[in-house]
Amino acid sequence: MRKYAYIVLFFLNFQSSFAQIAGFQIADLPQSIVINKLFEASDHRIWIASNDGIFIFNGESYEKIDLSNLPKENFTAIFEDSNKNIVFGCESGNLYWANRNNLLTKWNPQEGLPQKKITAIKADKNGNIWFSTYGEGLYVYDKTYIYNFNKSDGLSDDAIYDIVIDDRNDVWVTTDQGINICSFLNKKKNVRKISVQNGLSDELIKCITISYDKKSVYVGYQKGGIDKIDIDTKKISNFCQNIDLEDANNIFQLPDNQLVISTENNGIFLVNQNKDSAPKKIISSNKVYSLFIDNQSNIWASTAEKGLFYYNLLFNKTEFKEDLQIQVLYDDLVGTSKGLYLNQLDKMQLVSSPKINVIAIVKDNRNDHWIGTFGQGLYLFKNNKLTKFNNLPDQNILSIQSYQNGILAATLSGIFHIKQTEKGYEILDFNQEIKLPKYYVYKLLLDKKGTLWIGTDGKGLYRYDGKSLLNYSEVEGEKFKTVYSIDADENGHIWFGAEEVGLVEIVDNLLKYKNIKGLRSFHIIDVVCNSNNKILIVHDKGIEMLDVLKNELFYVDQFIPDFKMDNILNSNNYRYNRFEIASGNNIYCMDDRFFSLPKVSINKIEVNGVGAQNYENNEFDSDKNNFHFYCSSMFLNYKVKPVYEYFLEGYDSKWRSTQNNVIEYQNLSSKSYNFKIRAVYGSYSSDLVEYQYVVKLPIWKRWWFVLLTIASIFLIFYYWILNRDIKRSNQLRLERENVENQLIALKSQINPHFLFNTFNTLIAIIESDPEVAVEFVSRLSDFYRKVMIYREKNTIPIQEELSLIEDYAFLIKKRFGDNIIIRNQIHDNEGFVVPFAIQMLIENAVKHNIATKEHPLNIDLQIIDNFIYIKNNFQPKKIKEPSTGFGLSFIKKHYEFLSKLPVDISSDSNLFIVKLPLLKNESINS
Amino acid sequence: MRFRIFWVLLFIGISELLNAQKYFSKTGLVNFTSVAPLESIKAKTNSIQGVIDFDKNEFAVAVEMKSLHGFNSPLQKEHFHENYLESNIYPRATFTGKIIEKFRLDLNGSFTIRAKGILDIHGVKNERIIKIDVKVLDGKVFVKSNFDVLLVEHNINIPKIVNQKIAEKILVNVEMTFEKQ
Repeated sequence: MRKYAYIVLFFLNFQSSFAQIAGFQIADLPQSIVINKLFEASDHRIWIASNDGIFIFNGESYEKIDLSNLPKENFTAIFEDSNKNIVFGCESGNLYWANRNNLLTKWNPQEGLPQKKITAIKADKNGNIWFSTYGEGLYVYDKTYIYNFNKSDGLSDDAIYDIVIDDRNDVWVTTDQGINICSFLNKKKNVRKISVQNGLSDELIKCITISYDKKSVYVGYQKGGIDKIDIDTKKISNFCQNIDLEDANNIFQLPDNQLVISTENNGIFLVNQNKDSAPKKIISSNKVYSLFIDNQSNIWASTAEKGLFYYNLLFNKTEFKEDLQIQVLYDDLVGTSKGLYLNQLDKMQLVSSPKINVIAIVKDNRNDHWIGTFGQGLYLFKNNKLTKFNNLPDQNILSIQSYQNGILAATLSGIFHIKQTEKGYEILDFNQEIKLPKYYVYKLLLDKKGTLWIGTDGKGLYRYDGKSLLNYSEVEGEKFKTVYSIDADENGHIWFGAEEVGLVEIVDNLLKYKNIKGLRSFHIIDVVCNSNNKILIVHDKGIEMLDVLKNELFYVDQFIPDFKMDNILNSNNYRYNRFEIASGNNIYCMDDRFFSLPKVSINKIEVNGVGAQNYENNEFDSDKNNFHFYCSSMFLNYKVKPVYEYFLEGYDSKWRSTQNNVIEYQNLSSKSYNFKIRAVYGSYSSDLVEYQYVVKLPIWKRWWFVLLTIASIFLIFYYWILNRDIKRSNQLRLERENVENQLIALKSQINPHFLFNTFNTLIAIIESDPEVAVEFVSRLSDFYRKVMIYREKNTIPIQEELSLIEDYAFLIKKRFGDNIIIRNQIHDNEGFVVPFAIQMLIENAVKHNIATKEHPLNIDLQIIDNFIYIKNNFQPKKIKEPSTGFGLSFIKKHYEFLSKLPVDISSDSNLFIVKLPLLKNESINS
Repeated sequence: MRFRIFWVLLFIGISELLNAQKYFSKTGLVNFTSVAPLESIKAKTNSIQGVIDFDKNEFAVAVEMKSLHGFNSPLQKEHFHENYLESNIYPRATFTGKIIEKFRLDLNGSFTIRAKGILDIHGVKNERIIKIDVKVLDGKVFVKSNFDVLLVEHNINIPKIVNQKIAEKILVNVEMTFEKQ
């Protein structure tokens, strides 16, 4: 049985070749510049500080910041403060702040600025900004004052190389004299020292970084080597000692826990957590200026030889120098068309004859590996020794799978069950055992429940649960025929691909045809599940990684530098957090831990062509309604350009897409908007970034203005109505009073007293002087006729009133004789009076005054300065006649409406005078 | 005035005067200005003494607080000395420490230095960095400085009722001339 045992003959070393991954050169940056620091801002753009100014990389291109208004500076430190302003430190000791429009302003604090090089700037949790200098120690700015830590405060050295701030707000300072841990609480400085006495490997420390878990710091030594210091306990553990790392100047930790460390003159190294492994040089250089790891786990480096470039460790390519075809990866074994290799610590070792064509590898339940070849039969690899397994009827193996106490080997002539028994191995015809017709079987998979899945050529997928065999193609009506690959995920779901139906998931024995947007081909060769809900799908067009939870595809091949789609078989692998893909003579590893989502951000907003200063104030005036959004997207190696998908809520009706990173909206109307953008790479997209803003209404459309306008219109209208009503009610009152006046006049004129007196007078004269009696009656009738005419009117010409008074005077004259003397001095005056006003006043005078021979009643009528004076000598009767009392007051009221001048009544012991204004206009008669 | 120098020297702990590169203040003026919404108050004094030891880059400056005059009224002055500055208890304000930059005094010229020291006002000691403009002319050293003092940092509590009249931040302007002894 062991006749054909191969001893390990060859110890060919195939150096795994990290350095062969091409770094991405930054072509458009001058190679001669010295880049001192790189920094990723919160918008994920990379800021580059150099001796030739400042650059920003936005994922696609570089922008040089315009510093023409500033003196020339060598920028040596960068940081972003809590307001998203970028802070720069210079070799001169100057500090600058950049606003959102990249305009730099020199900081001018009252304390003055350092005179020595700024080596690092950081902020603590309280918002204090710390900056270290090379020669003046450490400064902290608490937003009020700047404070200094130097030797006199206990600092070991005033020349500081680097600082980091841990989660406890302690500042770690590295110097030529060891480490200081500084804190500043309530203006109290506290400085502790860590030196060789505490267990540091050396005093000269140029670089420090905080670990991913934030529980420790790593420091790199001048003399070479790295120590790890626990932040809580300050316990120092020796991490790595190696002369290669001499003069370490930058150190970072990678997501896979490896450290990347740059040295002044000896290039850049990766250092594994494993103590035994030596630092691995990834970049050779005689002068490394700076090193930086971005959010996408790109390693950025600036060297004298190459300028600025970056590496992405998501993909790691191992290249075989031999011209061979790698066909299967399993554990540390690599099966190729030219023999089996053992891959240990990135060293490849041929462990078989180069003549065997390995096509399948599997591990049985005793941890022995079985190697299936095409044409050379089956081998057992045990204790690093390869043994040929004879007795297999067919030497052409397609697939193998561990099964019960042995394996299943699918050959061109059917599946054989190699069963281990006490006597040795027993070979059984598995097709017969489970009653499976003899098809080519490309994949055998035994899941955790013990169900065997069989992918065949032509008959689709079979399931064997130990008792019965089920053909899914038959169940599904021959929807799919050939199944090259099957894998099971963490949840026990089975995944496979078939040309006719694409990717299929089996949950509880039910098929689910997956509808995956963007899947480039259904011709699926391989399906590999990882433990993190991601599935690698290899098809004829490339390689995709499916995020099962998001149902999003990532086109892996587009991001692998120098990827060649070169005859990939269905034997790729997932182990140590890495998908391993064999293609041609290369193995591409994709390390999940280096994978991060694309990061899109809005870097700048221009309103009417002017950069907005303050994004938090997102209200814009109505005329500021032309917007430019400058966006950037950072993803992996930046070689693949994103498509920006964007939507302006409040304006757009559907999502739009562009490859331009400047998005424009013109003449937006006044309302609220929400700008949403994401970057899409293939069918993989970044999270959505939003910016909500408001274009304010013009002033005449704002609610308060509208309200005010409506209110004032209403008020104007209201006053107009009010005024109209007053006028109308005045009119009504006038009319009413007029009527009342007429009534009073009428009353007085048909006053029984007047009539009685008049008739008595008439009786007295009717016999003695019938002619006078006739005139008397005619005057009386004249008087009443005029009363009838004038009572309807508001005013009458004064002459008409005088003619009325003439009649009236005649009547009372006949009664009182010379006891009443009426002297009318009004002659040809023009003007108007209220009808009966003078007559009523005369009547009043007659009524209330004594008129005897001894004391005649003199009534004078005259006009002086547009006033009618009605005067009588004041000699009131002892017995008062009953009076309506309305007469005077009604005259007064009536005149109020008709004239601005008042009716004036005055009296003394001798005279009673009533002054009536002479009306100029004839009032409209009702 | 001269006799006050003795305690100035105590601050820097130097007993010998003669052999070191020590410069003593000849003249000096300090202005305090408070600009509050309702009132601006100014006070000043010439009673400022100082010494700089250029060998050690150390310095000490002291102001007699009781000598502060100006203010807007005698009553205000009394109020300041009794209630806020408590000049009887804390008769001096001092600033002592080290100059961060190294510089030469044998050449005429103007430059800016920063003094890092302890500012002691109202008995409360705070560390401060103060920027100073220096002019050297024929062996005389003219210094000029502007800085502010937050009252709360020196435990000077202004009652709420007058906080519209007294600024939280007092502007200090110092001018001094130093000469070698």
